Formats: sequence, C-alpha cells, structure tokens
Amino acid sequence: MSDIERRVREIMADLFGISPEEIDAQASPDTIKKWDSLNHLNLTLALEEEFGVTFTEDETMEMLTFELVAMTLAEKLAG
Amino acid sequence: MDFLSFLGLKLRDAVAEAGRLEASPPGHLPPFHLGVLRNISVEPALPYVKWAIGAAGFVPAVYLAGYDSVLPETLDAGGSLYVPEPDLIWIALTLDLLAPKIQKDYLSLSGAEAVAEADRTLEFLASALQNIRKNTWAPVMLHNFLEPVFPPLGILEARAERSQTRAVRALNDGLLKIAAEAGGCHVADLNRIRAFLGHERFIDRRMAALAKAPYSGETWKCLAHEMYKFIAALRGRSRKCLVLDCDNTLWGGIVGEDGLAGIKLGQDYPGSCYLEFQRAVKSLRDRGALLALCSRNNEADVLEVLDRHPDMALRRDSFSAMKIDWRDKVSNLREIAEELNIGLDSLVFVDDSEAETELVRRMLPEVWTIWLDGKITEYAERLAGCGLFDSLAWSEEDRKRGDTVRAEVARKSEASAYSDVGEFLKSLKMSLEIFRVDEFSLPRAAQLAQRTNQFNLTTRRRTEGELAALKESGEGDVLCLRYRDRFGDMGLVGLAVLRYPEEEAAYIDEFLLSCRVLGRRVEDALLWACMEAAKRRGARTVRGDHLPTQKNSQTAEFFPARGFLKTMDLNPGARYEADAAAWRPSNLDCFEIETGFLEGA
Repeated sequence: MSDIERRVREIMADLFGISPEEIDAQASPDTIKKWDSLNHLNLTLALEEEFGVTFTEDETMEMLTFELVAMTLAEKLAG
Repeated sequence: MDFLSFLGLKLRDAVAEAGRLEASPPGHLPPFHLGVLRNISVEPALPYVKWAIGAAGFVPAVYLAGYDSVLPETLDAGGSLYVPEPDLIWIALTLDLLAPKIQKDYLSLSGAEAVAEADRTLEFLASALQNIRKNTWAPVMLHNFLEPVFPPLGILEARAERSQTRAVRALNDGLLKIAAEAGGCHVADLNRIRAFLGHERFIDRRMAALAKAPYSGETWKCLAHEMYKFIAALRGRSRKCLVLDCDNTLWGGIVGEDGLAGIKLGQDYPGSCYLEFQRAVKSLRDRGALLALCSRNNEADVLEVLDRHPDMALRRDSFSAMKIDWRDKVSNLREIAEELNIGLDSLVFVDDSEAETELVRRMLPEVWTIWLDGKITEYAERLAGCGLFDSLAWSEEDRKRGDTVRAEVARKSEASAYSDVGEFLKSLKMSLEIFRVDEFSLPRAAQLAQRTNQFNLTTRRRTEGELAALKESGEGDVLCLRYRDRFGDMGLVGLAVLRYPEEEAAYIDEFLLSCRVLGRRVEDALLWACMEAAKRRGARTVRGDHLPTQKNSQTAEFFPARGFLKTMDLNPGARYEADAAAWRPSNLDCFEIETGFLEGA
C-alpha cells in the first residue's frame, strides 16, 4: 500500500507543482491550489498511464481526496 | 522529436516540463504565442501542446479563448487573440456545435436542408479565416471533421446518393479549399489520426461525458505532434539528411562476414522487411531529404552490394555522402554535416546498434538518433511515420535534391584542381535567372524562406501567403534567383524581398541563399539585382539589416564588405546603408544573368 501511496504522491506533486510532503491524507481540491477540475482529470489520466488501470466516470467524480484516490486505486489493482 | 517518442510521452512528464518552461524559461529561447479557438474542451491537450512548442525550441505562452466563441474572438482586433501578435492560431472545432444536424441527425434532413447546412458551415469557417487574415498572417492549424464510424444508413451508406459520410467528406474538401485560399493553414487530418489509433483508442468517452473533451490522451498527443511538425517546417527546423548504417539496417546480416549472396534482402522474410525499409528511405529521398551512409565496413564490400545486389531499392547514386571506414561514427557524422554544408541538427542517424546510437546521442545531442531495436517488421513504418522531414512544399527541386547535391560534390572536387578562384568560377559556366516571384515559384520561394538558416540575413520566415500579399500589394518586390551551371540545374536557390517604406528609400527585408550555392559570388548577383530593382522604384538610398542568429554568423560582414556603411546598432545586429546611384557591384563577369525582373513591377 505504501508504495502505491508514494507513487500517487509523486504524480500529484508533478501535476500540482508542489512537493510530495505537502500531500496529506485529507489533501483535496479545497486544500491544494492547483487541484482544480482540469487537473483532477489530468490526475485521473496520469494515474491510468502509470498503473495501467481505467477509472469509471463515477470513480473519477468521487475520488476527491488523496486518501480516496489511493484507496480506489488499490482496490482496482487488487480486484 | 520523432512520432514514436511523442506518443511515448507521459502526461505527468509533459505537465512537469511545461510547468518548468513557463515558470523559469531559459533566457535564450524565444517566446511562442499560441492562440486557441475551440468548441470542445482542449485543456487536456495543453500539457502536450506546450511540450511540443518547447521541443520546437520556444517558450509557450497560450491564450485559450472561451468555449465556442470563434466569431467574436476573430472579429476583436484588439483582443487577446491578436495582441500580442500570435505565432500560431489553433482552431479545434467539431461538428457537434458547428453543424449539429449533420453530425447527430443527418437522416432528418432533406436534400436541400443538408446542402444549406453544409454551405452555412463552410461560410462560417471561411469568415473565421478571413477575419483572422485581416488581422494577422500567423499560421493557423485547424481540424478536419470525422466521418461516422457507425453510419446512420448502415450498409447502404456507401451506395446512397447522399449520406452523412458524403456530407462530411464534402465539408472536408470545402475546408481544404478555404484553408488554401486563406494561406498559411494546416488542416490536421483527424480521420488519419483515428485510422492510426483506431476508434477505441481515439475517443475517451469518460472525458467526453465529464468535460466535453472528446479525445483520448493519445489523440491529443498526435495533434500536438501535428502542431510540432507544422512549427518545425515553418521555422526551418525540419531535418534535412538521413544518415544510415548498413549491416542489419539496410539489409539483414553483416556483409563483411556473410558476403553479397549471404545478406538478407529480397522478396521473402526477413529480407522483405529490409527491402520495405529501403523503399521508405527512398521515398524520403524523393520527398527532398538527403541520404548518407555511415558504416563500419570495408568500402568495397558495401559498394558491391550497392552496385550489384539485385534487390536493392537504393543504389550508389541515392547517397549524397558516404563514410564507409573503420573510424568512429561521431567523427564521421561531423564530417558528413560539413560536407553537405548543413548543421548537425539537420541530421537523423539510424543504426541497429544500441551502443552506437547511445554514443551518438551523448556526444552529438543535436543529431536525432533512432535505434532500430530488432523488430524488423516495424522498421519501414517507423521511418515513414517519423515526421522529421516534413516541409510545406514539394517541388522538382525537392525531388532532385539528392542528385543536385551529388553534382555539388563533383563541383567541389573539380574546384580543388583550380588554383585561381576566378578561373574556377568561370569554368562552371554559371547561368542565373533573376525574376519576380510568380504562382509557380511561390511555394518553393516560401520553402526557401522557411528552411534557410545559414545564409539568411534577417530570418523573417515569411509564408507563401505573406509573400503573395506583399507582391500583390505592390508595396514590395520579391526577387527569386534560379541557378544553373554545367553540372546541372539547382532550381530556385535565392530569395530577396525589398520593401519601400519611405519616399526614395528601399529596404532589403529578406536576403537569403541556399547553402549549396555559397562560395560562388551568387550573393553579389542577387545584391546587384536588389539595387537595380530599388533604382527602378526611384529609391536613392538602400538600407539592409543583419539580424544575428545562432546559425547566420557568416553573413555578419555581408553589407560592409560590399560598400554599405553601418548607420545604426540594432543590438543585436546592425543596419547598413548605401547610395543607390553611387554603389558599384562586384565583378559579375563569371555569370550569365537573365534579368526577367527588370521588366514590369
């Protein structure tokens, strides 16, 4: 789990222009300036590229904190 | 940057790189203003587009116009689309909002209604481009429209007298005409991109639903690559010479070990893959690229294959330079560039050896290196699709370029036999034709303006449309120079643009020559023609600038060495001036000059 979390943090860092340390479990579009709706879509696409998964429309719309992103991703990779 | 490398880009890397470019742009890179008009969401494309602009050597500055606001934006002369002056305008439209009935409800239209809808759509596009051209000569990239994957008439679609497919094709034909009329436009072919990717990879249903961004990341990358190729062609950054290894590149096996009969080249696998690859190479030559060989071999072994193997698509005279010896490839590549008088950044190097390509990549980073990785069935397509040699014109000069450069080598070796340059030049029996640009020479003239990096005094990079407009307006003269000598006809190799901004003064706005006619005083003949044209216009003073770039340093003393005086520092560069009546040309007696430009104005 922690390796997935590390990789997700690094991708978010690249996309949002911040350092991985600034991303805590509850990080969200409310707390991170560059996590806007466009960059949320970029995040979805970048995670799909990195992990070889595909998110549904609903998953995309619902995974709006770091914790939720990591969990949704982990479930996909497991199942 | 070849196509496959582009496709391999990761979104996170593109975003990070684009962010770096925008946050701290390297000082020596010029800015590139991109204006974007659209009726779909293109935001997901922007990281790739910015990356492409960066790869082309510029710092991107993007103005993204509001959703579906093409007409108001193109009509607003003082708006952000035009101020600051754009370097490219990207128009991303789909028929969903532009012609919804054709796109989503074709069968409900009567024949007359379908025609009216199509006409209205084309008129809209024509006005948008006309509005743009009233305000700027910036090049424009548009999209054509997608034919339906699931046609409304099913299996009848192909045979029906009218259909959605036919309607879209007619729109696409109309769009090409409108783009040609406007000038400086590239229509990106979405149908071809979709043919490459396939429908499932082309669309992104989720992004379409959530964000009205109908295309997948791969499609956006293909579009960014189209833009990259367009910018590269416009700015003289397309590559000019393909340098090839021999063993396991042009044929299977090693000729030094397997012998002429033992190498794999022919109608059957695996030789057929190499033959296909050779055909792709030959096609690039016919398009206008130069070919060179760089192989570690005994020269005689390779020449035997070139001359005697029955299944070669390439022969000795396909190549403009050959380095077949046991020296290192880095030195040989440098020599090839020097012999052909082109920069290292005009070369593409192809080799099957990972070690060789790594070494070249490290030592000569300006050379674009392609490692052929053993998947021989893919080789031909990798070359055909690389997109590194794209140009905006294709003329006889291009088809014959390989031959004229070979003649060049012949000239050079003859030159070394003469101790007196003047005697040598006279022996060439050079014949120049200097004439005003016309519709036939216009594409080649623009191509020269876009490609010429070294002997180019001001590097203005005018497009066909800009040259035509200048000529038509009567406010300038566009002079072309055609070169022939006893070795052959090189075609159009020189261009000069004169403007007349004030009474009795002429300004040499562009002055450039293909590097293949340097060292022959042809520039003196072209300068003489400029002075004559200026005098005919009543100019008493002729001015010209030298604007330095990384590549044109050999032209720094051009004006002072020919009787012009410096009047101003331009920092960078300088302005020079001469009195039209008092100016005397250098000795032009080694030329026969036809002066068509002296008639008419």
